Amino acid sequence: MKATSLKDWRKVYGRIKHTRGLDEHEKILYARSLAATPDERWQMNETFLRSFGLWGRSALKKFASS
Amino acid sequence: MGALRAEKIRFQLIGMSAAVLQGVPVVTHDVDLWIDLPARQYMRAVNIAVRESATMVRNTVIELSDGMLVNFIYAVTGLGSFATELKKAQKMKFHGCEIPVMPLESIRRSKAALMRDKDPAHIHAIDQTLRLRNKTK
Repeated sequence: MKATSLKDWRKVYGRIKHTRGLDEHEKILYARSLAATPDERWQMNETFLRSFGLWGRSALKKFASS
Repeated sequence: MGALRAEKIRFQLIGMSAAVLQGVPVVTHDVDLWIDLPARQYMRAVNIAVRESATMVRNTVIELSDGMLVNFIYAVTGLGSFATELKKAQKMKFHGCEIPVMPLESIRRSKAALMRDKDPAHIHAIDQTLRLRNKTK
């Protein structure tokens, strides 16, 4: 498949939607991740961590204390 | 990463940060860079990063100005030498640089050799991604 980006996730979803062993939520999660460019994938990772205040050096302290 | 290259220090992106770039939907708080230097020279990589306005957090961990944590690694369990693994690495664009990224199969092998508490979950996510990636080709 040619290079895709996050906006093409529905196309990717269409190819994996009949996969067994995954629920709908997981299929969408994988479709978004597979469709995204490397930079978009990292951005999603960073955005998720930032939303919990777990980005940067402060994250180390929080992980260490948990 | 450009600064490491300018100093002719070879590196490759490994671990779950490399897995994230290849589409594994997990979250990781640092970037693991395997550096082609003996571990005793760990300060070389740190000094280069600090010159580029990073902050040293631990002996092998630095924080970039945007908050990104980078972990310098000097040995990886369960894999071949740096040079052997570098040959298998794929080039990917990340933060404006083209960098060598360890393939998912090798990341999986390293995790299977280590088997820390977190590794089974990571291996599962890598396996699912490899399976689904084949379906999308």
